[in-house]
Amino acid sequence: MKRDMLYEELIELDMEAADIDDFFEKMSVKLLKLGYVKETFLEAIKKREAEYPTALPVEPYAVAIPHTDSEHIIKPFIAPVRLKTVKWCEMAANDVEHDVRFVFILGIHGSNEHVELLQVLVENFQDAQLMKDLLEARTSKQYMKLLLIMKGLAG
Amino acid sequence: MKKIIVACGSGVATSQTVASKVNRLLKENKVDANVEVIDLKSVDRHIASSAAYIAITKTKKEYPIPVINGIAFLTGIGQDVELKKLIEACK
Repeated sequence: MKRDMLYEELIELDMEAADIDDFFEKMSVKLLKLGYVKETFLEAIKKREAEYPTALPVEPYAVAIPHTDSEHIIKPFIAPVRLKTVKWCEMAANDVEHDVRFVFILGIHGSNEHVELLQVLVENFQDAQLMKDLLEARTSKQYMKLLLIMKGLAG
Repeated sequence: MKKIIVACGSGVATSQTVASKVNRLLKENKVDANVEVIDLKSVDRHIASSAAYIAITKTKKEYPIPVINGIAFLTGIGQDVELKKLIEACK
């Protein structure tokens, strides 16, 4: 996972969304406008999330890591969003919902990249201090700063 | 060396992430076992030759070998319990 996949312009803090579809619709508009994804992205991410949900029951707040196949991505990115909680299905179980506060949309090209990125992210999600700091960050700039010092990030 | 299998519902990224983490933990605990990422469809074929199955999708099926909760290795919650089960299964 590289630092250059993190963009401050993609950070959203305390975003309100009625449900995950609403969340994806709002984020897709932005990602499309800024040139990160193709038109096909919205349908693709909604479909994939419905089939293979991505919320991880991290404590105290669940984290979701939605993604699509690489063909819908133009420029690789990670979109870090802090929500005002949205109900989200657990990765291993379509019938278990969690209140998700943190989302990292993963816009990735290759599968090696994906594995490396997941490894870095899940290790950091277990860092209680980092998650607390992310929750308390007031500005996108502060949020970005915290993400840039995550353990295991490359160049 | 014992074989442990791991599979996820879509793609391989999650199972590979779990596999590399578990391989590291087993090594730290000096357990002679290797975690292999397999396709969800071929779980049945690997069961007989494996000491445990780490599931990342919910499984209702009963298996003759211990089934370990793979999500625990992604969240850290309950990880110690699942690791203990895994070590036990490799004895």
